[in-house]
Amino acid sequence: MANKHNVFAVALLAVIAMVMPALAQDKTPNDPRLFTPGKLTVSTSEPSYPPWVLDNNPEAGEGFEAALVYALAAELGFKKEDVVWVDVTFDGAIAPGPKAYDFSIQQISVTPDRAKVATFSDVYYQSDKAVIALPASAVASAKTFADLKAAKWGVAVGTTDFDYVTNVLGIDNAAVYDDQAGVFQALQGGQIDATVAALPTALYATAVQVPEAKITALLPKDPKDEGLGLLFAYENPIVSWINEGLTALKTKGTIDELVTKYLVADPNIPVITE
Amino acid sequence: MTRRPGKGRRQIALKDRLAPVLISLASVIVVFGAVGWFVGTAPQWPRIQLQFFSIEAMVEAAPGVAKGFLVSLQIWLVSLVCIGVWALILAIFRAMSGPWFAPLRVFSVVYVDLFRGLPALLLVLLFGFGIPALNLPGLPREGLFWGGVALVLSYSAYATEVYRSGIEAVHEGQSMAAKALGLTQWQTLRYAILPQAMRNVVPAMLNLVVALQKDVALLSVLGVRDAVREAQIYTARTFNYSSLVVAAILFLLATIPLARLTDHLQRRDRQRRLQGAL
Amino acid sequence: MNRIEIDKLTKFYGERQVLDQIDLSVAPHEVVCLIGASGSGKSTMLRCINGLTEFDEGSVRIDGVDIYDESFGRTGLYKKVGIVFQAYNLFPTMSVLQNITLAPIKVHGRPRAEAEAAAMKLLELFGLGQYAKSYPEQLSGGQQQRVAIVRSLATEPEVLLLDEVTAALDPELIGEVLKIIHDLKQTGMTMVIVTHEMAFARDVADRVCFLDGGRIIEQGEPRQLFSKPENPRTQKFLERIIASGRLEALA
Repeated sequence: MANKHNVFAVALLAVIAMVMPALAQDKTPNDPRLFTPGKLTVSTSEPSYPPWVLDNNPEAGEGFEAALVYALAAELGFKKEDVVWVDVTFDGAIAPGPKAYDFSIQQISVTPDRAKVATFSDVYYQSDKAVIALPASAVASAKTFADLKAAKWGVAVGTTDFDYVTNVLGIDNAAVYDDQAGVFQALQGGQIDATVAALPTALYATAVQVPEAKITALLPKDPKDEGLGLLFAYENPIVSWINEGLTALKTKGTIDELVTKYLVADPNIPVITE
Repeated sequence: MTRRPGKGRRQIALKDRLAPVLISLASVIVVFGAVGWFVGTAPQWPRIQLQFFSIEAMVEAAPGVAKGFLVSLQIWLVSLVCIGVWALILAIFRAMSGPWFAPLRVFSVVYVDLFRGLPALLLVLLFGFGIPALNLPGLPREGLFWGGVALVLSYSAYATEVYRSGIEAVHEGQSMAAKALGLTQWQTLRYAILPQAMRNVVPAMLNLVVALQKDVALLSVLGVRDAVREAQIYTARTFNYSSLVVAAILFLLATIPLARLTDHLQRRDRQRRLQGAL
Repeated sequence: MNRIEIDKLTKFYGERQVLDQIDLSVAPHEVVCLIGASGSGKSTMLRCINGLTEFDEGSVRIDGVDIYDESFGRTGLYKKVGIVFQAYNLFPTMSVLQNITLAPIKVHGRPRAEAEAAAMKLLELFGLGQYAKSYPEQLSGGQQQRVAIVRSLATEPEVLLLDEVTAALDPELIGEVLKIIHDLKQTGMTMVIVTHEMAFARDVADRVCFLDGGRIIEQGEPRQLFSKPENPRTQKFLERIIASGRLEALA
């Protein structure tokens, strides 16, 4: 009798011994549910612009999103060199299907439609949308939404900027580009008069990329756009762990520091409403 | 099959003709039916059908995609005319012999090497974004315009080679006879060579016409809302690809009749030429 | 003065010599036939006469004027000298009438009505009036060649060059073309004819020249040359022709 009990106990211990290491690994850098255990694989698109990533070099950790990733990685227990960056386009990131990375960070807005096919982390930042316009256009002096319709708009496909222009501003003939870069090129060439972008993006764009253009107004929030989040493959199990890390950063005030350092806003920009 | 006395040859011929037709029909039905059944009963089929062939999605996307397709068609038709003309001019440059025309010939050769050697997308980006960015006064700015220019320049390189081969396929005796009658080079081209060359090139040209229909989609990178872009907008919103299937159907509706027309024209031309020889 | 005066005509194609110091005179209204084996230079020589083919040495004079003389202008020579080819070379996208009136209207500036009237007259003269609106592909080979001849006559040339004009025709169609050439001779047209049709050459020519290896080996009155050729090479050539049944030996 005693032997049977002993055998049972040993077997139970053996099972626990086998499972424990696996369980013990969860929520550590060697979590087996990571794309590459031991590494935090993060995707963003190439090129990446300030103030989100400086010098198009996420590995340097400069820029709001690059710095956020390294802060998050440290919080979760990763060393700096354990962070691996891969290049995936915006469309590729928001599309359904398995991913070759743990999460994507590239100013992706949390929306209900996207949440149906992919999983977001908690929101890490929310900004206003700003109108960027060439000074000679009707948009530059617009006071209401109706005024805004008189111009030629351009946006990138699949973005919340597109949704805003089409659904909230009610403009149905906006030029639609493959990516944000195309939008700014078109603005530069005078092919469109105006576009909409998150305020930090707009600040960089008007300062450096399209200096002829100006931020002419801020827009009221679209309720469907809940702010920026990290984007994971659908129902990726490590989301909760990442969220714990984000919460810790928020509590410590790290995110606020990064906002102040990289994402400064001008308090004097007028707001346009309906 | 026994011959029935008194019955005409016609009836027997009919029976003999019917059998092959029935066999063809039956074998087509069996083969494609089997493929269809195999695909339809695969476990992933319902999901594939939902993602790609959802009727509701197609109906919802159809108006937008159709609107974009109209844009595609317009661009296509205007480009065709421009290509037809510009490529012909280049071919004429190339065909003129004699030392005074050397610059024209050189231009034509270099042009073809350049524009045949560059990807159409590269040209579209270069012209569509690059030129407006120069901010030169007096030039149009629309992506549509410059993208169209890029397409015309690119396709003319191929089209002019088609013209050239059509011109060279015209029998040498024609030029000789024209010369002997005192016609200038240009008159020879205009009255003797080009009309014949045109007949020669129709099938190859229709090839390019069909190809252009699809390359118009490249202009979407310049913000143009053609059929593909409109389909993409729908897909980006819903993650359903049925809109792309709608666009695909529209493209096929446009290009397949063209392909049959080409076949028909080729057949008719061959018959006409062979009839002369028989 | 001779209508055509060819003097030491020489032509090379690369290393190969095709014409070797050829001398030939053609008097007004004379019909000269050039015969010889393929590659003997007959067609080349014909095309040198109206400048279609450029030659390396020698000269060609029409009515005493060098064919490259400026007085001809660009089109004067082509007006004076017409040529008809073995392949007819009618322009297939134009009607018979348009083929014939093209040069008179576009090159020599005749008004359309006048050119068409003249063309119709010529067509009717040679029994082709009903084909004026037809297209070349609707006509038989013989009809097309006759139209080609009429086309070459539209500019009222003084000399007509005929380059193996029956060689591409079915036998039963040859006769109608030969007839038209006979008729032209009656009108006094000066002609240089390259031909394989020996019997025809014997009938229509005032003089026959035998070419071999780029040289005129022998020339003379047709009856004389065909029955009693002096040069052994001529004899050999004629023997081969007679043996193949293309020429009946004269007594």
